[in-house]
Amino acid sequence: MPTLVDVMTILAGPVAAAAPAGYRESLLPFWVVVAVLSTIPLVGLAALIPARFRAMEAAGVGAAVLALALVGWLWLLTADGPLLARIPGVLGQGIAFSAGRQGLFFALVTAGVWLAASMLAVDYLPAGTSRARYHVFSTFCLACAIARYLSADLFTLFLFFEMLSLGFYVLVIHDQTPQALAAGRTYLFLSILGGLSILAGMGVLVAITRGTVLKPDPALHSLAGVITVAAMYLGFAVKAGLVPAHFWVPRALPAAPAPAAMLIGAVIVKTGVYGVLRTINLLTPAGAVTDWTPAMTAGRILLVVALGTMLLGAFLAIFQAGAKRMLAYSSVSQIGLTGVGLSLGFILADAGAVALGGMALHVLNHAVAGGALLMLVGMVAMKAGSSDLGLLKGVGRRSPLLALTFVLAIAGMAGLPGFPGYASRAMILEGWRAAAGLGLPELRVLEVVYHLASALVVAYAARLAWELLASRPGEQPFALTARDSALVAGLGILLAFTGIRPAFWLGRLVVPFIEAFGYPPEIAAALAAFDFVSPRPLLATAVAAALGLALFGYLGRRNLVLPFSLPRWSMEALVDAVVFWGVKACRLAASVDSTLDPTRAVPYGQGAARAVAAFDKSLDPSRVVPAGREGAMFAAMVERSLDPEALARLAGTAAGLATAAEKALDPAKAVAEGRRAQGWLDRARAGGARSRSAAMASVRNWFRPAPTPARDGGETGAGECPRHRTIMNIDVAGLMMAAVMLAALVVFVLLAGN
Amino acid sequence: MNATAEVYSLLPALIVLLPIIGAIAGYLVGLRWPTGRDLLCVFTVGITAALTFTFYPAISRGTVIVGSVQILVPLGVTFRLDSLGFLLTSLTAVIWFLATLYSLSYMKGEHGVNRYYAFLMVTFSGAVGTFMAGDLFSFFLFFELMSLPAAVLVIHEETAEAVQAALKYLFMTVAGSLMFFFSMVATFEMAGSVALGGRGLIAEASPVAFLTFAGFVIALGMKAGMVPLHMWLPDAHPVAPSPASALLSGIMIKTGAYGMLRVMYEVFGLEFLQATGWNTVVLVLSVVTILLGSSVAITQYDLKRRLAYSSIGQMGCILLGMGLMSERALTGDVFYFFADAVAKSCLFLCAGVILKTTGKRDIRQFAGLGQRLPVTMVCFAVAALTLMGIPPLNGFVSKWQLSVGAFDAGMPGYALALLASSMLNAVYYLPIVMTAFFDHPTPVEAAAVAAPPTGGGRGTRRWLPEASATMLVPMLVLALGCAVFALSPGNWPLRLSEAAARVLFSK
Repeated sequence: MPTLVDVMTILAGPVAAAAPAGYRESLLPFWVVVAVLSTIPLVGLAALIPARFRAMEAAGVGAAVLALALVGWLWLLTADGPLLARIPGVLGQGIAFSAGRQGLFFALVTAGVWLAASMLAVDYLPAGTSRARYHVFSTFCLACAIARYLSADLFTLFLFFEMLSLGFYVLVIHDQTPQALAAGRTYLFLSILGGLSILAGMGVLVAITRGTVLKPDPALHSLAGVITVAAMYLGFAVKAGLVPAHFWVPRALPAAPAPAAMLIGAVIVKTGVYGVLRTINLLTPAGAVTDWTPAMTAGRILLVVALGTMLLGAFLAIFQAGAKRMLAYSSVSQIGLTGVGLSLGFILADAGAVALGGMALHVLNHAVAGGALLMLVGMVAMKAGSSDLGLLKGVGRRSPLLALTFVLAIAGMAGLPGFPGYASRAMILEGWRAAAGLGLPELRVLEVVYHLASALVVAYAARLAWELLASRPGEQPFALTARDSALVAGLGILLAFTGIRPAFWLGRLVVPFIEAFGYPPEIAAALAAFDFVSPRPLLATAVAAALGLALFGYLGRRNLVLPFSLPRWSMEALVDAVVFWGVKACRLAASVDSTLDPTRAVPYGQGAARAVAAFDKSLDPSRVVPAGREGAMFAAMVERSLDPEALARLAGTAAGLATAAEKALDPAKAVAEGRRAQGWLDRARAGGARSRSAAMASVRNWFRPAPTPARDGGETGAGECPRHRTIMNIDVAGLMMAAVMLAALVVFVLLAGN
Repeated sequence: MNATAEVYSLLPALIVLLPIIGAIAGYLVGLRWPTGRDLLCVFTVGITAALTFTFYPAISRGTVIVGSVQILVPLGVTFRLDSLGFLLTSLTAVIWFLATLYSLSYMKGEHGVNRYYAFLMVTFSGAVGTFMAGDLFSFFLFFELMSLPAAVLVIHEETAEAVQAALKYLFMTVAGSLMFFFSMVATFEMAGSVALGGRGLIAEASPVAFLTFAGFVIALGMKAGMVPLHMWLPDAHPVAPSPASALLSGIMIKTGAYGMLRVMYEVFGLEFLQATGWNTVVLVLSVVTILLGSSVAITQYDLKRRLAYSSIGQMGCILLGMGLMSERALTGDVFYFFADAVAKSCLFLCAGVILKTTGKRDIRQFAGLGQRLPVTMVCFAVAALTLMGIPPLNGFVSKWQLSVGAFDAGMPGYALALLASSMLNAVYYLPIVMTAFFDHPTPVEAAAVAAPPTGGGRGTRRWLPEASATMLVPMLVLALGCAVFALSPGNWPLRLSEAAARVLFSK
């Protein structure tokens, strides 16, 4: 009798022959994505049903159940190898989904946490906010997250990565308080920046490998490959919250509503870890290349970053005043721990399976323990109306069930044996042991840092446990409903089971995950038989616990305020600076832009136009009319002068003159003239003597003193009048006389000359 | 060389003529019967749009439609419609149809409606003619037929700033036309022909050839809003009525880029530009355009001005794509024409609804609009995400092809410019959407949301109270267009873009 799986396999269509080696062609992964995506409109439609039926919440939970079931089913189907579904033509490039156990592992964890978050969202969304919006976008993000893990190539992965980033923004700012909006902005713009970085890396990847398939490729062992990996790594590290891009987590997580906060801490950051994993995996040996160096180098770089993240997150978590902020930093530090396992997995080459397995198990463990803590804190914080640790003091005392679950989760976070979180640490410690065998000195130093960071993790766990469980309860009344109790009890069972039976998850989920990387089978077998109760990890854990408790004991007497302020060059300050200078740059661009405005040239143009107008006026022909007229008159004169008649007249005159001259040359006439002139001279001499005496008399008259002016008329200037009159009188007479004399002289001289 | 089949048809001439007849008839009818004019205009544009799609079967087979009309001898008006021309012609026709439909409600009760429709139709004729022109002379003719009447659309509001903007537009357009004319004459002198569709008319690099190239770049860059010749754009686009802004920003500036594409690939030719490296001029100017346009957009708070500067940034991307000289980049580039035209028109139509319903232009006052105008703001968000290049929308497809094309061309630096453009787009588009949907409105705005709506037609209806159907439907169609084409595997605009790029590269 065929099982359900067989039936579905038949329905999914025949296996195409053209699938790449190791893949089976099947549209199933695609249909799973479609099925999960199609729940979005269903949730939206459920919002139309009256709120008292809680249809929307039910649909949200149902979508998560469906996703979990479908992903689990795919997990079962892929025991023989991954499936591949190629959908050509979409987005020009064509997209592809594959169900491989690397992605499915993460998808399973994601769907599981999402289910819990959807259940939390039934009762724990703030009043007065849009529930429909939350549930629709939560389902949207779930679908994108699942599709992201089912992506066969980077192109598809990027597509859903971006959609998830944008969609999740709506969940972050769900409360729409100013803080939430500010945190959302930080989250969104960082995400977009990260996305662009991935896009850049993807462009280089296409240039190198002619495709975007996320598989190790020998062509990537080059400078371009390094650029690809670096760009993609940066993009995913932002999402993962690795230092120095960790700061969006403590901003966004406390601002988000409880279920969304749970998703950020337990799921969203892990989408980044998955990306980093796939990115570095690109550098591992493939085909003819057996060189592990690039992957190992990338691993060593990541190790430093991851340890830094773990250390910083744990250290800052100790000093937070709010439970949610503390858990945000805690998530950062746990991601650092995950990153440590990841990087050790690559540093150790084939021997790294155990560290990589530890990483995977920690992803699961932290999803359980961290998710549980975020859920519980979200519940009590909502009931208390605040996540302030001072207000949440002693909530564990109010309900033994709550207290027990808190203990399980916090102990798991701290990595105490027997609790979720220990088993993965034991595997990572095994990785450290193997790394010591490599003989790299800096790894010894980093191992010490790791232990220190583990101690800090214990310290903040201890503080959280102390505040929530041990201290005296606050004023806030607090009671769990039946539904809450069921949820908490379920969590408690899951926590206890995960803590006590790590081998269950190891064998069923982690080992298949590791096998998908193509490690030799004996390594996977050895991993399945990993011994968690060996003395070395127990000892290391005990030391870390003792150190951490001691640190908490020392700090506990103080005020638990950060002993120094964060440096001004922290990432937050840097981001502010980038925004500040960005705004300045835009203003500068705007002012440059306005200088390009051609209307600014209008005054100059007008000036030039005026100059041209003046020049133009100077060209006016009417200005030359007077000159022309004169010229014309001159020309007329010249013309007239050229008239032959006039010449004839002139000639006539000249002839007359000549005749007269000839007549004048007659000597007899000259004698007569001379005699007449003698007579004139005599008369003139006599006249001259007369006029001389008359002139002398008038000159004497001239110099005769003027009559004294009347004294009383002096002011009116009348005194000048008589003299003036005198002058006038004398003047005319004198002038006439002088003229006559002058004329006579001239005549005389002329005649004398003759 | 592929032998491309050519089919002679005079349908392009009819397509150009119909709107002009419609304009005159509409004007005369509108003197007495406004409703009749509205119907006539929508009908004419609709018929024209339908006619353009009759070419699709032939074009999809790779056939080129040619036609000529012997007027204005000796050159005559020639038409040549290949896949690139067809894509843009049909796009123009469809968007014009939607904008005309939108105008029905938008322009109701405005002054000078008769004039508006007449010039809208004449401009339409010029725009489709530009995309169908078979030689530079016809291109010039239609280019002018589009550009000059568009000034009447700019000046429509008849405010002081509208007059100012229209004057600036006119002067710069005329200056550009003169440059184009100079280059066209120089081309004719050097090559003896101005026919498009070849592999390059000018064979020899010379100072005159470079001057010709520069003249074309100035003339067409002016129309395309290329920095530093863009200054008319942020003044002219915002003052026009919103449907006209949508067409100015969505279609008309594309004619400049389209002309540039034809000039680069068919007047000068691929090998010529690769040998001389003159395309670097376009590349550098386009990067400046991207960065300057986008950065200045961030500082603008008037919605339509921000959109206008955004157009400048997008045109930078389009010019960049054609300057890269790689087939993949050109595919992305042609698709970018499509993606940007659809998204930008949608944004301007949304801005029109916002302006008409709330009277708001300042984006800092948009809080609560997401609740008050949900359909509009969702359309706006989709179109904005498209322009940011967020998958799975059109803009992503084009930006992806462009970026990969930059790598193909061996110029990865320009891919960074595209990424920067995306980031800057996010910086100036996302806050609008965020404010509209998530900021808490002031009490006055909250009251406006709660109260029954007053503006936008018969507002008492329970459903879609924000605007009348003729305004909402065009926006919705365009917003859907932003996503549908990217997601559907049978993406005909992309197929056509690929075909266009292939033709330009394989001849």
